[in-house]
Amino acid sequence: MTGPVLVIGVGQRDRGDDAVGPAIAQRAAGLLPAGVTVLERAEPAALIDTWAGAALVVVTDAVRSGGQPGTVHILHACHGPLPLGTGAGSTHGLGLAEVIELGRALGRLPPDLVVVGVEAGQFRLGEPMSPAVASSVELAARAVAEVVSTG
Amino acid sequence: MSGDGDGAGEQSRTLHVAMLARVEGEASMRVLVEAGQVTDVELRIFEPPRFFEALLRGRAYTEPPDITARICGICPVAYQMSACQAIEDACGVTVPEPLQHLRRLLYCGEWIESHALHIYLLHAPDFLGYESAIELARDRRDVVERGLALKKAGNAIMSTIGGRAVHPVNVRVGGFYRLPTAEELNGLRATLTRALRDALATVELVAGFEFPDLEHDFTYLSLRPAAGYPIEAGQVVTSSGLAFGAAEFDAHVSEEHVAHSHALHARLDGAGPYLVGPLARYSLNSAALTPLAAEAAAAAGLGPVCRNPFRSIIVRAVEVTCACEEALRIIGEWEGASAPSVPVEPRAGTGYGVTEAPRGLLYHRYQLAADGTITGARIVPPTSQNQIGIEHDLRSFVQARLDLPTDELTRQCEQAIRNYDPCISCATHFLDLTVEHREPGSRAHRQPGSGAHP
Repeated sequence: MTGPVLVIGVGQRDRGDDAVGPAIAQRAAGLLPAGVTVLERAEPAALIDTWAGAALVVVTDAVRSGGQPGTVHILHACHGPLPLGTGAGSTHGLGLAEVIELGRALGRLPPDLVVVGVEAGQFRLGEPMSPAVASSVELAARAVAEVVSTG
Repeated sequence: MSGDGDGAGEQSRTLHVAMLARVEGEASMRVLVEAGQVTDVELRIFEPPRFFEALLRGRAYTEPPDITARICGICPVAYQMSACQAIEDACGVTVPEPLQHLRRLLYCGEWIESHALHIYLLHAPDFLGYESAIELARDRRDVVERGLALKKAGNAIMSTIGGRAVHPVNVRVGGFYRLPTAEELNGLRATLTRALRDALATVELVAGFEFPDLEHDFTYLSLRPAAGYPIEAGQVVTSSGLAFGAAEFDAHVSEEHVAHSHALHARLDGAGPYLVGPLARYSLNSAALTPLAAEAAAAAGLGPVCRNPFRSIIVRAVEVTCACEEALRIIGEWEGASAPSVPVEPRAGTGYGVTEAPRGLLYHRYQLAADGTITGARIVPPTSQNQIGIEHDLRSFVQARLDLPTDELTRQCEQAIRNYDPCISCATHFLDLTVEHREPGSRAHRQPGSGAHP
């Protein structure tokens, strides 16, 4: 992979399992080679500008697909729409899946875009992450590192 | 968006209004129809500020700008500015003018960013008949790109002044941690000049939309500064003729618990509902608009007062224009400041802050102990102030459209609710809409929304 590599954690730390995106990005930062930029975003709509110019982008976020909380999903967004409805688990105006589709419609997706998501259980304000979700942070962070190293 | 049931003939129908997506159960709307008449509309919203009020107690007086910025991913600056103003008020400090100008500039960035997001990615698709901004982008790439360029211009101000576009870290009680250099500020000029052009094109675009014929007569409430359009400072004024300072907000505005909602409902002097936000700001301050914004408003046919909630999209575009002009003016007049902040020593007392968040007036009040520990906090966000007004609007709106198929009624309700740009992070995430039909003498048939309230 040549060109800038970005890891972006999406989510709000005060909202239960929504904290998992930033938590994965933070943990992954310790596993990644020098030169990889790790960022945190609370608002997915900002991503289209954030990832402009990057060659590989890994977005980490809470996901809701009806699966078991804590399940790690690795989704390649460049091949087609993500298998997620609007139920993807971030807490803002446009969700991650919508922002990715908006980027696709505008021809503004990075050449390689991977979402590492963890199935969330609850988004309660002031709650810590659910144990099942928190215990998946390490696995998800390793998945991010692997995507970056093989990307 | 999805609808259960097929429309007018049935007893009960549930509409899932996924306008804001994501976390279900935090907001829902219930419409009660009795013998063909809409008799009740309840908007249920869950309100994070209550959680943050509790979180703030026991914390240091320097912490509210950072802590309250976390309430909303879209309008962190509004929370920071109301918090700073209130803490400085409690401590008897007024920040010097250059720092006030810098705060106004930062706030302009948030207005541009937030309004552009709302106009282009959330509201315009409704008016243009698209399911979402994604479909709009496929057909009208130029339109969506313009919205994203505007949003980016707002982000550029926030990164330059705030240190970061999301949750700015450079704001502190007493001013800023670091002043931008003249070079950094001048670097924004080209972006903002383009943004101003885009803003004027936005007014032209949205002025050509079709607007449902709906007018309300609520009292409007906003700030009004000594000069200029209200953003980061001013006295509270109302269309009913009241004028008061932030310290008197509690005396005029009462909040009451309503059984169906986690949010408190705000009332002005115990009377009917009032509205905050672009329509209120504009109608109470249209004479104070910047020159190009005033011209654009007139060309868009707005008049000095606007009472059609659907036209709020035009007012937002006019406000983006105003914010671009103001940002350029502040940068043009910037002569530096002697220090990035002034010292703020704690003292026992109460302080009040009011500023104009993109969605409307945001009130903060803090009680401090002598050592600066926060002993009490109250935050009144714009969306909870607008809640009764939204319910009233929806009541007449739904009544006139009861014969529509479920999907279309849901779509139109989404559009009507979006008139108020309800704060996505601080008030509502996923809206379940339940329309309950009752026939005289029969038992209610009700299918509540699917969300469980926290």
